[in-house]
Amino acid sequence: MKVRVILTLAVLAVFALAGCGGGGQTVDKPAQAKAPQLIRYNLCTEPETLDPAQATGQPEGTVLSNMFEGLVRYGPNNEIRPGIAREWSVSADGLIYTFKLREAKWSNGDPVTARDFVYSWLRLLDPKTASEYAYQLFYLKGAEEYNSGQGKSEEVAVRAKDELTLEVTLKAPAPQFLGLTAYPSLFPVNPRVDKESPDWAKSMDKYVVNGPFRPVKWDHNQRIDLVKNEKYWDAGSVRLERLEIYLVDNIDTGYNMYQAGQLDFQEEVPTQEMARLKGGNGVKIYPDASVYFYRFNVTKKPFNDPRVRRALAMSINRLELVDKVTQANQVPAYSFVPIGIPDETGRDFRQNAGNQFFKEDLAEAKRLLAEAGYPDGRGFPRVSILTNAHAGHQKVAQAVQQMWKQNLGVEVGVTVQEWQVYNDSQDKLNFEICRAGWGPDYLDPMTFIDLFVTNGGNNDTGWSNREYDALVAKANAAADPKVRMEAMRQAEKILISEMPVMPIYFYTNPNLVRDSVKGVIVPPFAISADFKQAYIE
Amino acid sequence: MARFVLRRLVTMALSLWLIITVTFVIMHSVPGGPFSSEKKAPPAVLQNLNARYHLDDPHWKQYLDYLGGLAAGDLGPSFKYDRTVNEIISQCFPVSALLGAVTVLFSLAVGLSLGVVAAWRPNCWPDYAALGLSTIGFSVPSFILSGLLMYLFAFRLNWLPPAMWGGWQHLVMPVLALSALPTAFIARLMRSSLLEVLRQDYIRTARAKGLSPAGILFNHALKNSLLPVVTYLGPLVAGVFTGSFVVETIFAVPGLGRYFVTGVLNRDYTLILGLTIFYAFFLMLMNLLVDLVYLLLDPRIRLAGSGGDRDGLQKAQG
Repeated sequence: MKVRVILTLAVLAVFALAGCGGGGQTVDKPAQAKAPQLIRYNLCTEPETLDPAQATGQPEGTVLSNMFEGLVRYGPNNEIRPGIAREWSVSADGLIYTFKLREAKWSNGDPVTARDFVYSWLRLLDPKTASEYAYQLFYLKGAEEYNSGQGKSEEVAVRAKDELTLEVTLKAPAPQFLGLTAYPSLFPVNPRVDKESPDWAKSMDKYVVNGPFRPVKWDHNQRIDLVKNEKYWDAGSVRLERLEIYLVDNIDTGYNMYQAGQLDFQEEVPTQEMARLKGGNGVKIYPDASVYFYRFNVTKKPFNDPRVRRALAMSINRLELVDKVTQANQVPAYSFVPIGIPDETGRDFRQNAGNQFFKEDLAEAKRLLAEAGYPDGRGFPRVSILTNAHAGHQKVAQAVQQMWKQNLGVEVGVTVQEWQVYNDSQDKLNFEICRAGWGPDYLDPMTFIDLFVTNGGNNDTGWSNREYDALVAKANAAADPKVRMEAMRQAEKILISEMPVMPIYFYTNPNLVRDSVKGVIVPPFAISADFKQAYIE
Repeated sequence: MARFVLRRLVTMALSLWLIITVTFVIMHSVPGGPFSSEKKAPPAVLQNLNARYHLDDPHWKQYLDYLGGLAAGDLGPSFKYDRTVNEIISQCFPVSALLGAVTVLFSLAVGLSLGVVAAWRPNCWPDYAALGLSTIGFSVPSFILSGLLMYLFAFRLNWLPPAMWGGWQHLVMPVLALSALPTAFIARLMRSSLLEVLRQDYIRTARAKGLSPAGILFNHALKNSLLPVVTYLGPLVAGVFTGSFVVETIFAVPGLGRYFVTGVLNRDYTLILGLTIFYAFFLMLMNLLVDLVYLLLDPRIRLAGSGGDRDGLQKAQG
């Protein structure tokens, strides 16, 4: 009897202690009639770092973009708007950029100056910082040399002509550079804070920002709490008072929290709910300028023969794939550069170049395959589609596997590898067919076109075409945007006609969004959500 | 006893060293690394990264540097997160430990009760019910149980918050999900052990003397049948206190469990090593405590003079 009593008391005591020790977070109430300006957003992962010079991932970039502001900022229609820089000019040869800054303040009252940008950009390039994204600034003269330890920081071509004027000199013309200054790696940091407390990015009490929101708390693996930054130069446009960023890894759990009224916005939608929620019942589908494709290893038989590659590319039903398998209104791709990338006319690259470089044509595919020596798939070597261990990719691979078997008589296997092993295999060309996806680093076709130059670091197909390389070089050297774009259009035609990669679809970005949430900018690349103009209705 | 503990500590240190070495070798043999990514970085950037984290040193030097840091209690920086491994463990372990403690207490309370009920009237309906429950307990995987609990209590009934951490309401579902398996085990262990004890002559004597069933149970039977449960408790505490990846991810509990898995996926070498050492040390410590608890439970047990402690203990029991 004594033992039992003691045991029971012990259990009760622990429960009581747990209640006292906890943070006292109870079930949150959903947004009420008086609409408190609070949005609860699930980032779906713990950020690896909140130091702009170290951040590489999209989740990190998303949090940072809501706390900082670079020289420019993207608006709701992917247009570049003035940020900390109120105006800028580019020299005729496209090499010298002069930015005139406005009188903005840091959240601790310090003024934001051109020197802050010089300090921060040199910090990104400093070999001791060992930033993975230092190469984002390699456009600058002297930058790569400094980062390789072969140049001095004084030789990097960025300087503060005065308190509010920043001058940058590039190695070669690069129209994408302006948009890049909106990117987290190029955000300024407060030099005074960085010198006094080098570990300022690890805790929120020393964290100083110049953007729409400032941080209050970072509970690892739980939540980051942001409040409106009253010292932000454009604080007048910010309607939200509080932004709570949840860090819940499990998407299904996040969905349950959304159902329970604990969350308002989540970037990922559970695949099994997608079809049900699509028609406006809580899911909004945003554009995503990324392409989903399969690589062929052109150094291995039978993929050294372009006829085989074209045959395989022409014999799958992309509409059926996006309708039945991926189910998020993706767009079948018959070209490589995704929708959402502007060209020299300001219109969409795809609008001017079209999305019909090849067609799904079974008869033609069969003919090509027979011509290549594998009539009806007879004698086709046993090959495999390599993918990483993600349920969605495996489903697509199985669907494609079946389509090839049914349509061409070609049997392929599906090999699943863990993410890093898969990356390694892709890099070392240890595959026959490999699934891949690519998103833009900046809004310009070059970020897709320059993938497939000979020996390109991200080529990963073994494909090499001198004409293609020449066109890419021509585009990179051209100061005239029309010449540049035309060269890239030609290059894309060559890419598709030789088909070292088989485009499947252009991504879309479905998000779980409560109806009362308005004004969130969901860009087609780089970051997941910008809450500067968001509000609750 | 002091000699026993001392000798045990020495074997612990040797085991830890062996574990560190094997983990180190395996880690570096697996393809990929902490800074492999889909987008290949230019050589200058990779060079700087390797220099900063000493990944360009030969493996034996990295190994010795690590051991050196370890001697000073420094588990190194995480390669993936902007925190040191010490910080990650000190921030996340208390959460997992609290969840673990409540789970163990709950499992003991329910498991022991079920075991006693089953053993008291063997092969009657309470026995079958208890056995049935325990079979379900260790057959249903924790992620299914978690999903069911969340559906029932958070979605349908709205009694509890679906996830996150903070108050006692956030403890209920993770504890229930985590304790299914241990409860089942403890119930079964208790049942078979108690059945064995109840057959003994001294129990028959006690009954003959007229001692009440409750008296027999609490004065004689329980203490003597607890040994197998205590044995199980050692690894159980070590496993549950260091966090369960599945339950913590599903219920968004900020514990240590997830880092075991993400550390490997990210090839975060220092985190992997640090967590392995932490878990190994904790496990060995728990086993040592379990051996010492034996002494309290059964006065017939003598600490073995030479190696093979547990065998020595069993032999002494006769």
